Amino acid sequence: MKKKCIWAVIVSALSLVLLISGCISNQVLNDTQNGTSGSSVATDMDDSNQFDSITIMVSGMMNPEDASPIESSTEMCLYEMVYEPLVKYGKGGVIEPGLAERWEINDNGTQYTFYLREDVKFSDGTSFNADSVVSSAKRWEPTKFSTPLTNVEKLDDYTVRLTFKENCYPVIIELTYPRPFRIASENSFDTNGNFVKMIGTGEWMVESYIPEEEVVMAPNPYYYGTKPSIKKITIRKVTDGGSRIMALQSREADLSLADLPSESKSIIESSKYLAVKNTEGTMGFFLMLNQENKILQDKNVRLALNYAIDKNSIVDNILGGDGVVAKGILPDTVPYVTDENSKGYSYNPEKAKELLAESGYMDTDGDGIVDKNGVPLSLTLVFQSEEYAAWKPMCEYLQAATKDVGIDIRLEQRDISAYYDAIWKNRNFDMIIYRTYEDSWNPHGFLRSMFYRAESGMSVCWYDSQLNKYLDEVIKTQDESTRQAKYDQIFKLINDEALIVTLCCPDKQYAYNTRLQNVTVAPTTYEGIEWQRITIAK
Amino acid sequence: MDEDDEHMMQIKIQAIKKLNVWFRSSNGIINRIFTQKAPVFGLVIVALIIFIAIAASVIAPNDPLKVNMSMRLEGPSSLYWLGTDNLGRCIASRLIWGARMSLIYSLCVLGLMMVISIPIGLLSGYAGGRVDTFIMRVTDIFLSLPTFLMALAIAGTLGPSAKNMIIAMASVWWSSYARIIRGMAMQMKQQDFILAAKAAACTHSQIIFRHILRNIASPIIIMATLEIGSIILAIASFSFIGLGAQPPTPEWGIMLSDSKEFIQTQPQLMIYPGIAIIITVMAFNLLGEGLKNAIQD
Repeated sequence: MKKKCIWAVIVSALSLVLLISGCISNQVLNDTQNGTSGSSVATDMDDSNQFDSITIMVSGMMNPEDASPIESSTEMCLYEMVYEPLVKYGKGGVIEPGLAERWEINDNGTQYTFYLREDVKFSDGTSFNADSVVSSAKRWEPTKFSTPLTNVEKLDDYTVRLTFKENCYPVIIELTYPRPFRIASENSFDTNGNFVKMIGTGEWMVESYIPEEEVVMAPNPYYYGTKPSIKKITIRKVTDGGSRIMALQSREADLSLADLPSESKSIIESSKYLAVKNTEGTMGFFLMLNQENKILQDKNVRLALNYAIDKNSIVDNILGGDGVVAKGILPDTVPYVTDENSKGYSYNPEKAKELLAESGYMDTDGDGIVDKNGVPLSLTLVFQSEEYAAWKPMCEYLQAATKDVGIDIRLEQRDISAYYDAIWKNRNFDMIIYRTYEDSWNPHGFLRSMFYRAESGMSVCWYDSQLNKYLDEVIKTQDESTRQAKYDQIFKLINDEALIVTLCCPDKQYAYNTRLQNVTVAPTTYEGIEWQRITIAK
Repeated sequence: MDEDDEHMMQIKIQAIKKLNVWFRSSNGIINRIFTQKAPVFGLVIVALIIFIAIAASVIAPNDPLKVNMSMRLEGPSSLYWLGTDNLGRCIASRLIWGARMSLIYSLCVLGLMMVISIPIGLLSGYAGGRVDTFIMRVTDIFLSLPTFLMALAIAGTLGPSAKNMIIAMASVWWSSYARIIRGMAMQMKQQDFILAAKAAACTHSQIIFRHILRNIASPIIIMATLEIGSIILAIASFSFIGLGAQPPTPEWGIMLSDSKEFIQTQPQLMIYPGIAIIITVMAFNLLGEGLKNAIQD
C-alpha cells in the first residue's frame, strides 16, 4: 500500500521538478539578459566549452567504428570531417578541386583522369598517393555509380584514371558524395578487408568516442589546408528537439546541426547569446505512397490527397513560416526544377471530393468517411519524430485535413529504425512521410533512388515504365538543353500522375551560441558548417 | 430434492452474510470507509471522474479531434475553456475525453489480467500438488522479470497500438494476481463449508465457481481498485513514449508527449494533463487504500 503512495509522491515530485526546472532555466536566461548574474552561468559551463573547443549536436546515428567509407548509416557530417573526395561539391553545384588538383575527361566521356595533390597525408601520418586512390576505388561498389566503374588504373604516382562503361553526366557529381566514393587510408581496414577505424585526409580525425553518444574530433595534424582555430569538436547525439534547445540554452552545446522544433524559435530570438543561420534548403518533405496498395493505384485518390492539403497552413503554422510551400517533389533551389515542370496542386477540397466521387467513392453510411463497395477509404500514415520534430504535428494535420474530404488516415508512429525498415525493407505502410535527399544528390541521385528500378529489385517510391526510361536516358544526355527537356518530362510526369503527395520545403537552420564567430554555412548540408572558419570570442 | 433445497438455502445464507459484511450498519465495510476522510475524498473524485468519462460526449465543449490551425495555442476562452494546443484542438475537451480513454484502457487491462489470473490462480490453489508447483514456478518466472521493461519489450515487438499495449501489460502483470488468488483459494479450500459441499457431492467446477470464487470475489475487487491507479499511470507512460494509444487519440500520455516541445514556451499544455493524471491516480490509490484498511480491520 505504501508503494502506491510512493508512486503518487514520485509523480507529483517529478512534475514539480519539471515545473521548477522550467522556471529556473528561464530565470538564468533572464538574469544573464539583465547582466546581473554572469558568474553563476560561468560556473555552469563544463570542460567542453573552453575557449578552443566546441560542442555540437546531431540527431542521427553516431558509430565511428562502423563508419566505413563504403556503407554505413552514421551521420554524414562525420564523413565530411574525416574523409575527402577527389572533387568537391561547391556552392551552386560547381565542381571544385578536392584531393585532385585538376582532372580531365576524355572525348567520349568515359575516362576520368585525376591529377592528385602531392602534399597530402592521412591523419595517421601515411602519405597519400595514386595507390591510396586505387585501393579505395577497388573497394567501391562499381554499380553504385550511374554507370558502372569498369577500370581503375594508376598512371603515375600522382595520376589516376577511372574508366566507366558509359558517358553519364552525374559521375563527376557522384564522386563528391560524402558516401560511398571517398578516399580512406589502407589502414582503415584490417588484413581481411574489414573496416576498423576512420582514417582519412580531412581536416579532422576521431580522437575518442562513445558509440551512439558522442565523438570527439581533433584537427588532423597532417592536414594540408588552413588549420582550424578550434582545437576540439565534440559531436553529441541528442535525439529530442526540446533537449537540443535546452542544451543550447544551458550552454552545454554551442551549435545544433540537427533540426530544431519551430515552436522554440521564440526562445532563440529572445536569448541574447543564441543566433540562427537560416538558409534555403534543397530538401522537401513529401508523402511516399505504397504502389502495392490497390486504393492508391487509383490516380484520382492520389490527386484528391494532393488537393485536400492546405500547404500554406503547414508552412505558416507548423514550420512557423521558416520554409516554402512545395510545388513539385523538389524545391526550385535544385537544378532543372522550374515553375513550369513542377506546378503542384493548390488547396481545393471541393475538387478532391469531386475526384473521389468520380472514382466511385461515396459516403454511404454517413460516418464522414467515403467508401466504395462497402470498404471505407482508410489508409495508414507512418511517421517518426526523432529526426524532424515537425513531422508529428504535420501528420496530425494531414489526418484532420483529409478527413474533411472523407479520407480516413490512421497514424502510426515508429521509432527511427522501424521507420527506415518500413521504407527499405518490409514496406509495411500505405503512406509514409519522407524527405528528399539534399545538394549533390539532387535531382538525379534522389530521383533514381526513389523511382528507378534496375532489372532486378524494386523501385522504392513508385514504378512507372515511362519514368524509368526517362531516368535512364537523362543521365546519358550530355547536351544541357536536351537534358533540361528530359528533366521537364520527368518532373511533369511525377507531378501530373501525382506519384507522391507534396508538402513543404523547410529552411535549413543552424542555431548557435554567439560566442562562435564566423559561422559560415557550407555548400552542402552534409558538411553543415565550415568548421575551419569558426573562431571563439574571448 | 431436499438436498438441493438445503444447498440453495445454504448459498442464500452465505449471500446474505456477505451483503452484511459490506452493508451492516455499524460495522460494514462501506460504513468503515465512510469514517475515514481520505478514502471518501478518493471516492468522490473517482465518482466524478467516472461521471466525466461516461458523459464525455455531453460535457466536452468541442470535438477533441477537431484541428483548427487558425486557432492554435490560444488562451482560455468561453469556447475553449483551457485554450487550444499546437494544432488548435480544445484542451479541455481532450482532457475530458482523455478521462474516458484512460478508464476504458485501464478497465480493459484489468479485465484481461483477471481473465488470465483468476482461472490460473483458482486451478493452482484448488488442485494443489504437482499442478500447483508447475503453475507457481511459471508465475515465479514472470515475477522475476522487471514487469514494465518486459511489457515495453512485448509492446515494442507487437507494434505500437492501444490494443497491443493492453495485451502487453496484461500478459506481464497477471502473475502476482494469480499468486494472490491461489493463496486465497487455498485458504478457502480448507474451510468447513467446502468440506460440506464436497460431502454434498458438488462437482469440482461447482465448488470452484460457486463456493471459492464467490467468497474471494470481494478481496479481488479491492485488489483491482488498488491497481487501477498504477495501471492508469503505466498507460500514460506507454502512450508518452509512443507505444500506447496512437495520435490523435485524446489520451493524457499522448497530450504530455505532444506538449514536450512547448515545455518552455507553453508550459500549460503539459501541466493540464499532468495534473489530470496525478489527481486520478491519487484518487484511485486513496480509495483502494481505504478499502484495504476497512477489510483488514
